[in-house]
Amino acid sequence: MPTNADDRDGRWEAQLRKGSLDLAVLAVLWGERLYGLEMLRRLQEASGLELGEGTLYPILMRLKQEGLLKSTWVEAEAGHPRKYYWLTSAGRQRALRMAETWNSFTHSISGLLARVRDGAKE
Amino acid sequence: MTATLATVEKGSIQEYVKRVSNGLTGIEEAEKQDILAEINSHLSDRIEELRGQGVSHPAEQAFSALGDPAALASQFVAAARQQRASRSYAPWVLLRAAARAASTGAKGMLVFFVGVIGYGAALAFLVAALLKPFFPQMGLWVGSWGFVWGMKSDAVAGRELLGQYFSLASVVLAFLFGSGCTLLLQHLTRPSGSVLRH
Repeated sequence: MPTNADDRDGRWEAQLRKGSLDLAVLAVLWGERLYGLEMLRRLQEASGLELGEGTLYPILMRLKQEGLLKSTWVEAEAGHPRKYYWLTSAGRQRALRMAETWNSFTHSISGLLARVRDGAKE
Repeated sequence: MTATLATVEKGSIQEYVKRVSNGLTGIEEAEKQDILAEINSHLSDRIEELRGQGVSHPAEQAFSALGDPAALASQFVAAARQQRASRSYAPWVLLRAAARAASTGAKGMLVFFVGVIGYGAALAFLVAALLKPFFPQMGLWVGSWGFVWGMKSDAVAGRELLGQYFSLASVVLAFLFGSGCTLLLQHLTRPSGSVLRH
């Protein structure tokens, strides 16, 4: 049975994932044109992140409305069209800024986490 | 791949898509059709993929992975609403978005209070400007007790600072509070992401 501590850990993890979601989607589209299912596979393969399938499409709609993505329907061998997405110039700029912030944040918190790791070994 | 989908699976996809469609309220028709076509395409691909992996009931698993149709539709509607609100200059649209945000947590409550206080102040200044011609005693009153923007009690002494410029100053402040609140709410109601699962 989950404890309160487990619940709190779960909420914290959910918030962390929520905060990294836009960056993950922008990063997976870096230099590529992909359709939704391909993005889900790439996210899983490249980072182990499993984005909820029903979560991806509303996010793609929002990022497109914000002018960070463009899309087009392409007829595929599958027998039905697929909607391909790619980054706009604004999307690339946003991805760069977010990656910079992410790297800076993880670098600065790593020092603190080293102390936690050291403490756990003792 | 779609060509190999069984008729019953195509029917199931159509049923799922229809249920999503029922929940897509307030979304423009062209955008709605685009969303539904993408879900259709996703499910067709996903069912074929799962069948290739030897899954016994690929359609059921594909629907399960995409989630409840009504919940999926509500995510699209929420994203569209947030987007509309963050671009809108209409106080009622922004306040509605802020009211919805209020139920999501402390930050949402703060956004809502910013909206209520900001627009409330703008309205109060506007009303003060409109009342000035009918109530000449309206003004910026100061005294040893502090100051008041409006009418002071006859029981306390004070002097009025703005005179005939009171209405103009009230309109300027109403504009500043109203536009400032609008820009702030547009920024604060701008959508962020959703939840990743690992």
